[in-house]
This record gives sequence, C-alpha cells and structure tokens, in this order.
Amino acid sequence: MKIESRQTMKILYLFCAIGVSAPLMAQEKPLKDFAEGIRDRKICLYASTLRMINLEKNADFNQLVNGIDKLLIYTLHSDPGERSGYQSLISSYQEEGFDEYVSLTGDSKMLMIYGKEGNKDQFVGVSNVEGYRLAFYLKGEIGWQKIPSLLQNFNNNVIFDFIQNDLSSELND
Amino acid sequence: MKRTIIAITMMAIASGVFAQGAIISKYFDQFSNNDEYVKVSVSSKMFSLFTELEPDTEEEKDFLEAISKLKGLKMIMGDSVTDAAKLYSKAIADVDKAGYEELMTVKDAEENIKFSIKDSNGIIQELIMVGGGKNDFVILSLFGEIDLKNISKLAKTMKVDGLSRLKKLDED
Repeated sequence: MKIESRQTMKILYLFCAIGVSAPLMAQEKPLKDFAEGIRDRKICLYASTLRMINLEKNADFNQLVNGIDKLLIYTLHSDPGERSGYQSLISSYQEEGFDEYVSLTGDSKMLMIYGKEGNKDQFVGVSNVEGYRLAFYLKGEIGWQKIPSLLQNFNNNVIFDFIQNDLSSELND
Repeated sequence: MKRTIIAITMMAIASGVFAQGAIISKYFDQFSNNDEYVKVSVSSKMFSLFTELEPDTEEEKDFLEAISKLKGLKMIMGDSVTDAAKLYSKAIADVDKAGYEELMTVKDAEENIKFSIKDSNGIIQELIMVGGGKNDFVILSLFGEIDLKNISKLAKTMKVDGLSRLKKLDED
C-alpha cells in the first residue's frame, strides 16, 4: 500500500513538473518556430555560462546576469524583419500577454523586444543591428542598474563576438 | 451643471493625455514606411523595470533616478536627408504651434538643435528636441517626469547615437 502511494506521489510530482514547465516551453515556441528557417546556430546560456564567457572578469557584468535563469539565442543568417511570419510572431506573444518594450526600425536595421513581467520576467526579441542578427528568449531577472557602468567600462563586443563567432564555432565542432 | 463641469474636466484631462507625444506620433506616422529614417520607441514598460532596483553606487543612483520617472521615448533620425533644413523648420513650426515652451537653442557650424518643453505645475512632462544639419534630421520626445540635470547625465552615460545631443542640456 505504501509503495503504491509513493508511486502515486511520484506520478503526481511528474505531472506537476510537466504542468509547470509546459507553459514556459510554450512561450519559447513561437520564437523557436520563427527562427527555425533562418537560424545558423542555437545557443542556450545560463547565469553560470554567461559568467564564464565574461573573459574580462567584469564584476558588473556578472551582477547583470546573476539572476538570469535561461538565455536562448539563435544567430540568424538573414534579416528577421524580412522573414514571413514576423507579424504573427509579435501577435503570438501579444496573445500570451507580452508587451512591447523597445522597437527600432529603419535604415536596414531592426530591433524589437517584448516582455512579460511575472514571478520570473520573460523577454523575447529579434534584432538586425550593426551586423548582429539574433533572436533571443530570456527568463529571469536582469541587474539593469549595472548598465551605466557597463557602458562606460566594458567592451560589450567581447561578449557579442564570442556568441556570434567563437562560441558558435566551438559548438559546431 | 455638475455633470457639465465633470464632462468638461474629463475632456480637458483626456485632451492633455492625448496631446502628450502627439507631435512625435505625427512624424512616426509620416515616416513609418520610409527606411531612410531610424524610428526608435521605448515604452513605459521598459522604464518601469528600473523602478524597484537598489543602486550600489552614486552613479547607479543618478541613473535610476533619471530613468525610473520616464514614461516613454520616441525618436526619429536620418543622416542622409535631402531636405533636412526644410524638415527642421517644419518640425520647429509644428512644435511652436502645439504650444511647447522653448527651453534652449544650440547653433553651431554643423547643426541647429532646439529643446522645447511642456510642463504641468512646474514639473516637465515632455521634452522635445529637434535637430537639423546639412543632411541630418532628428526629432526626439521624452515623456514622464523629467529632471533636466538627470537627463543630461543619462545622455552622457548611455552613449547612444541621437541621445548624445541631450548632453547639451547641462552645458553653458
């Protein structure tokens, strides 16, 4: 009888775990589907890996990323703004309760960031700015107050170049 | 009578709300399909992310103070505009006509920049910056609760093209 109830509990836990994670997976899905046809690479980073690629060991950068649970990045080979399905991507996230945070268009550049506040904040974005063609999904807390000192003292290109080139080629090898 | 007063008050409040950002919205509509101009929009949601953060340093405190009271930013800029001078004059006329108060004008060899504000009870609710050079044009609107000193510091910190002109607010 005890064994049966233990098994029942395990199954219940399993259902709960699936129940909790399924909506989060669902919120990554529209971006995943959108990026699928135009992506070069998919990179999944956590706070620990983000600290690892901080080659300059900048303390502010570490504080910026410490609360991030997950950062999913797709590097793209063509302009995401030109991709069919871009408008439906935005609509999908709006239906999920995401709001527009930032948008930039024109001069062959584009950037959009949508976000949803909650127990854990979520952000989704696509960009084609200064040669960085990316789509991303982020879950967790960001230490926004670190941005001024990072802009003043930190070479952001180190991280971007690492994601765009070095890390991607390492993962492909 | 009471109803009429309430209705008039409501209309006045509503017109004030809609008027905020009306000029920049007009230019957004005008250039929405023109790829020569970069259009940037930052919503109140973005600024609200900065409201509950604890600063570690004086620099972070200034940054958070400046940014957390803002409700939105919209900017349009172009750097290869054929009729930049005409566009600049038109934008200045639109801003003046809409009742904005001139704050400051900066003229140098490269470009003219004019800052105008709309305030309520001594608090600046919107800051409009119009800039024009030989081939450059920029119009930027910041709305929310605006402290000019902090905005200038923010511009110095952010190193963003277009926003850098706001540094001039703390010069002279």
